[in-house]
Amino acid sequence: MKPTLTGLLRQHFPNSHIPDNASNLAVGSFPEWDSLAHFNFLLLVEENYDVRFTIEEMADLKSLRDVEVALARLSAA
Amino acid sequence: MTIRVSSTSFLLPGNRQWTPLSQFDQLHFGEYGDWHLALLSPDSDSSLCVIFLEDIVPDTAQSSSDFDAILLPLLQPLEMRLSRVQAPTLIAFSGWRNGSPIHNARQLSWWRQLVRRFEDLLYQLAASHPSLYILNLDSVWAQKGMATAFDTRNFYAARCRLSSQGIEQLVISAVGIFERIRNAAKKVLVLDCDNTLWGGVVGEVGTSGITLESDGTGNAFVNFQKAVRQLSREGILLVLASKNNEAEVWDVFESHPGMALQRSDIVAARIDWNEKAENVRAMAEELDLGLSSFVFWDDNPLEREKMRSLCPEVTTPELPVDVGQWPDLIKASNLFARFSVTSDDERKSAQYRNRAAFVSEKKQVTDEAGFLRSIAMQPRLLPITAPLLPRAEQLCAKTNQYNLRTIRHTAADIAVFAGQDPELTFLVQLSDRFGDHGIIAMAIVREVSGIAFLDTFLMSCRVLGRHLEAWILEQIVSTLQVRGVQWLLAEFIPSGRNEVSRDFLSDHGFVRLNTENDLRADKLTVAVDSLALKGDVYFSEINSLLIPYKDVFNQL
Repeated sequence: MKPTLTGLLRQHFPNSHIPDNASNLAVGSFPEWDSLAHFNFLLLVEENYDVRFTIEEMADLKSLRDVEVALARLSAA
Repeated sequence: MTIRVSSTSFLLPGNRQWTPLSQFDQLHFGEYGDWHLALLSPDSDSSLCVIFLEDIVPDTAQSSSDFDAILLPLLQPLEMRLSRVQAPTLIAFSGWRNGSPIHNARQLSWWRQLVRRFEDLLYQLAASHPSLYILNLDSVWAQKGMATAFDTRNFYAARCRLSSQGIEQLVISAVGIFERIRNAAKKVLVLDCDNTLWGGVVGEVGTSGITLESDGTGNAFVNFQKAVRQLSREGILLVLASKNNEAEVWDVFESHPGMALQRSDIVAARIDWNEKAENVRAMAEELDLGLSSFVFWDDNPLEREKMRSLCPEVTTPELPVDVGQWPDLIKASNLFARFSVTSDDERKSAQYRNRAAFVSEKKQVTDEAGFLRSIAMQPRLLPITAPLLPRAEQLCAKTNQYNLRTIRHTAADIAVFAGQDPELTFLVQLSDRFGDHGIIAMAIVREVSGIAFLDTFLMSCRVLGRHLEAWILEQIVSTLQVRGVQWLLAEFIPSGRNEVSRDFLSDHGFVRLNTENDLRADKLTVAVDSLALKGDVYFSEINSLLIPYKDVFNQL
């Protein structure tokens, strides 16, 4: 079973508190979530969901909700 | 310990793929593209420097065929580090550049020539700098395809040339190299027979019925045997742990034309119906090697599971059911891989085979002295002259078990002792019916305030069980008696691995020095103090030492 996005976020930032409803969280929500950590997080999402984001998506997907929407679109395609 | 990671490109610090290396050592990533600054850094950390030649060879160089003029300045920071820092430096490099195969169809392209020269220059540096290690990333990534290792999206979005997979493969290879720098390779391969060395069960189908030929699956078994035989030639010891009737297994070894392995390649064997874990323990004892240097290779998942649970120190890799994958698997494995293979490694199998034969024969005799007389031991005492210094230094560096103090004297130290007392600074060579064991023991005795001190007393575990230590002690005693020395002092420094040499002291008449209530201690105090002995001090009057087994040696 695929881990949830929130689960992946917790795995990626083990030292930060991630609430159950994390959709509103985005780059910069806490100090560890900087642009490099975000890029690595998107790569982690790609690996776990077996998808590939375009270079534009890598730049545009800022919040967990953005990623959820992109995943829904990719899985529908 | 810290590894400083630098690159000509960006390597996505914090990416999950770095975890195996960050679990091995703390990682310190520099700034983007600061590879040369990292190499020049004044710290003494280990270094992993990932070089993409594409990043650092200037476009303007393209017309020049003077490759050294382009490459030598790029290697300068590395040379400066190597001359200053002893810690390992791993240069992982890629010369990958996409191109049409047509470019190289008639002659090697300019780029490929440049990459080849770069690699040559790195290996030239490695030849004179033992702390330099080289990783050709292109050959690592080629295993899964270059297209999976590189990712142009990551390059344009984050200046990282690699995909997650590319980083993963880089990290796995780097961990393997750093791990080998720290820990020795495995020494013994334990092999099952049926369905491991050949297809089928010999006890059911007989020697002629097993699958072992030049076609099909039989060929996979032959190729696996060839890969294993190659390991044996590089000094890996092969042993058998098989549930079979012993005679049937040896019949296959001796009479099946498809066998690439020969009986003489096998250093020890336990072919019976006992638990394999017990048998592996017995063979470890016989070879005098720790279980942690053993690898167990068996097609049967149940046997592997039992070995993992009963002998967790032994490495038991999970194996694919398809034997066709085994030859490549064992060739590519890091388990036995070493940075270089010496001629000493190549002789190892024969030495251990001799030792195993000695131990197994000795076990069967009841008259130990009679047995030892029958093997015609000829020890020889060798004063340590200049040509023997490297061997003396190597014995100090490598001997762990039979070593009273485990002081790692350098060749220069030993030369000083030999200059001061050439008679009592010596090596010992031994040959007997089991072969020429070479130079396998060493002793240094120093005289301090009229008292003799056993500075060094060590012996290779290859010749244990022969009481050669008694002969060596006898040589020391007779010299000291001539000199009129009354006392011999010894120190045992426990290293966790040398308990066997403490027994040497008590077995030969040494007693523990008790400075509080032993009047004899007074005479020795000056020597003990001036030697600043911190370990367990033992002593004996020269004439009270016990020298057993005097008559088992043939004097030259």
